[in-house]
Amino acid sequence: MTASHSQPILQIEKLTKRFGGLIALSEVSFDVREGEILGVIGPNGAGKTTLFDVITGRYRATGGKVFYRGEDITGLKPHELVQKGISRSFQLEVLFGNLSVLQHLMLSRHLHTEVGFLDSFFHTPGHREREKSTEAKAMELLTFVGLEDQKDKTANSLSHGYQRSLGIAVALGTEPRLLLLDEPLSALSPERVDVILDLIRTIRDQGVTVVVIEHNMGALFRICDRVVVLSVGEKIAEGLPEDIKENEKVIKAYLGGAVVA
Amino acid sequence: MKHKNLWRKRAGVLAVILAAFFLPVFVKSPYWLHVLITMWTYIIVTASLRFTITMGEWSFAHVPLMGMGAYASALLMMKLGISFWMALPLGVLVTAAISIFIYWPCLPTTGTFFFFTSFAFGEVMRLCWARFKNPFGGTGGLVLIPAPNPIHLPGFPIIEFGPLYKIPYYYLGLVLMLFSLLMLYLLEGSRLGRVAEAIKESNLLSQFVGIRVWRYKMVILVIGAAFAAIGGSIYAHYTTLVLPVDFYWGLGVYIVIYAVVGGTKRFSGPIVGVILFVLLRELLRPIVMYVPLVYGLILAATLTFLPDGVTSLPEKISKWIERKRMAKA
Amino acid sequence: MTLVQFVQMFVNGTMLGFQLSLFATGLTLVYGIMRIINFAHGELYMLGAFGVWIFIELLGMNYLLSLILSMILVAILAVLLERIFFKPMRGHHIPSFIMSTGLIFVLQVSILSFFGPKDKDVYTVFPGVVKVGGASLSVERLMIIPISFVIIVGFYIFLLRSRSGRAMRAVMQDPDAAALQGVSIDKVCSLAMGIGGAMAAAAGGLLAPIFVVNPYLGPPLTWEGFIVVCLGGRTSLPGTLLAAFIMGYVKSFVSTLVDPIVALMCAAALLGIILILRPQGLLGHEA
Repeated sequence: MTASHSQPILQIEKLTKRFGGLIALSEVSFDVREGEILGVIGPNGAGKTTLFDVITGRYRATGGKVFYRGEDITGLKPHELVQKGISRSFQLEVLFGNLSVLQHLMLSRHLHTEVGFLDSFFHTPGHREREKSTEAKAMELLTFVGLEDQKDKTANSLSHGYQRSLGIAVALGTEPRLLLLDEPLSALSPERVDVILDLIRTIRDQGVTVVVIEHNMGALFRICDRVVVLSVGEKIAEGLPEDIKENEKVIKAYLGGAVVA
Repeated sequence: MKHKNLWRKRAGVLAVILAAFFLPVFVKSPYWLHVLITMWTYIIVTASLRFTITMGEWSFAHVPLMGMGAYASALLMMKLGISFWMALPLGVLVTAAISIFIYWPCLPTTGTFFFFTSFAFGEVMRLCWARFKNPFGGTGGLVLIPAPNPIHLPGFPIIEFGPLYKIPYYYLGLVLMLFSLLMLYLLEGSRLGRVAEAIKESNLLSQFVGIRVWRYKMVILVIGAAFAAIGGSIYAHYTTLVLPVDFYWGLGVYIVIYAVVGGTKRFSGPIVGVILFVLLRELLRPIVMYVPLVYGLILAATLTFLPDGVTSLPEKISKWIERKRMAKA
Repeated sequence: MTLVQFVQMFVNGTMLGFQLSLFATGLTLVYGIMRIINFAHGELYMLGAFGVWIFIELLGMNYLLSLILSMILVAILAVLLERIFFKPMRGHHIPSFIMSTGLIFVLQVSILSFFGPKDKDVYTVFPGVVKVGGASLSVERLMIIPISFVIIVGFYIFLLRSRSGRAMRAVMQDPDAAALQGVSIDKVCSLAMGIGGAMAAAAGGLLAPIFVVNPYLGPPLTWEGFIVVCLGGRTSLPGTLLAAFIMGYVKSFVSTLVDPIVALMCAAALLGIILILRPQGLLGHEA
């Protein structure tokens, strides 16, 4: 756990995203402090996933900037951001369907495996050594999320809950310092919700900053340090969970009605 | 158990290769040697197409690039007087370089779009051969392409290539085919192959584990083009005549049919596909006009009943047997 | 370039534009409604041309009757093909493309085996020449314009006014919503193929007296058709019309002023460029 709050790990400045005529994000600004668990909530269509998409380079921002550890990362592509230490999971499962759980983790260790191409081509002993150590690290991660028994199953054959864990494990495999989770708890049983919440806490305890989009506020508020609220593309509130719960604007946004000016 | 199977497989492959090497002892007919030589060429082109498919995209510039290999090595020999043994690898390099220009604009596209854009730019290249008499010979193409230079091995009689000597071409094709297949097989088993698989499964997730998808796609496409060029080169110096129309989209469709009917999921798919269709064509010689029709029907039947191709049959059968066994238990 | 040349190229381009409009509208319909790539569409054009040839030259029928009969027969064939081959492939681009190439072979060879590979001629239906701006234009070519125009307008009226037409538009926009509203997707798909086939056959029949008729007419036109569809916007019918005329004029002018091969190169390059720079085409709005 880091005590340094000198510079936020992530700074979002007036981030705007337009899709043709539709404004998905409008001048959203907030900071993410290193070592915290930040929750992002908001009614459907608020732009939460779009926020992640723009931060991680899946879509180009129409305006505004994103800073990661002081560096301007606006407009960088996903693979570049992964190299810098930002990783994310997806709301609707994005996995390598026909590949096994273990293969997923081996691939997610792609960046951190110094496999020379020629070595892999000729299957040299050096290559096999490194394969073994990658596999060991992969198994470590699988055990961490509780999937070690499923290692040879294909992603498509896993249950919903396990697929979710796999998504998180893959995101962790890239050794991120900032992890963005998109609705990790949706459609999970209460027992699994607890498991995932514990997982997130442990991840943070190991020094990773976590930003979580969630609809399940009851569960989310149990683990997050602060909350940001989006509604119709704008940030309407930011603060501690207790305060957000009582915030009038937030309550109005969820109950429907006109956008609060 | 697994080991035993692996060695059995390897022994099997070795036996087939040895059989291929000794075939000319038994098959003397120039006609059948010709059939086999064209078969080697098509296997190289189909296998390399299948290699590019492993990353999830179908390129329709593949056959035009085979043509580029043909034109390149032919022109290098004819205009610059280089020996075939230099012209072949140089032609491959030239084609690989040109393929970068053809594929690079196509990279932002996927699926059918990629298919059409790769066709479009491949077609522009092919039309250049038809348009520019100098150096490509225009619609009349290149004629009198020289045969490979004779091979002088100490202690052996000189190996000459020419219209009357099919056997050297047979071995040339066989050796190049085996080399290509070996390379493609190793490439597929390497890190490159693993990343290709991942890209096919999910372009999005690949990006998010740090894979530079465009770069890998390009590498795979260029490698595919290089091997297609080898096939093209053999074609050029064996038939001594290349025309732009030899590489029109219809041939591309045939290659796709061979790959699809053989099965694109397994490495052996294209090989099986080519062999089946070449033999089939010989069977249909008396009704040669109907060959496209039969091809079309086979394709339709395969897509409807056995979409993963002929090479998926063993797996399907063993699964079916397994199911019956489970039902009985 | 003289005025005479310009007039000829312009009229030629207009004629090609109408040919492509008829042809490509069918492609857009089939793609927009069934989401498949039918590469055998050109063979329907070829069959339309052959139909007209058979009815006029072999059976001595009247031209317009031949045209209509051809359109109907090809439409029926198209619906059959849809029911048998394309139904399971709805929504799958590459398998349907591959399947349709198989169909190209089947149809081409069938015609080949009956009629042989030689070019056939359909003799001039509308003889005579008209002078416009110093250029002599054959009435034959000019007649394509009003006839195609009528067919296209008729199609649009059907699309915009009739119940089936509305159903088609609904499926093009949002198949799930259409299904929920009780539209039979199967019927609409068959209708799309049928109309598409009829219009392709019309194009084939109209052009038969002008160009030759042989079994190989299909594929080159199919590529042009796809260029037009992509250029206009794959699901936009007005876009298809616009693109068809752009293509027609480009072909006509470049072929005459430069070279037919260069015209083909331009068309191919155009396809590539459009798909890269503006995949939704000129008037399309697919994300």
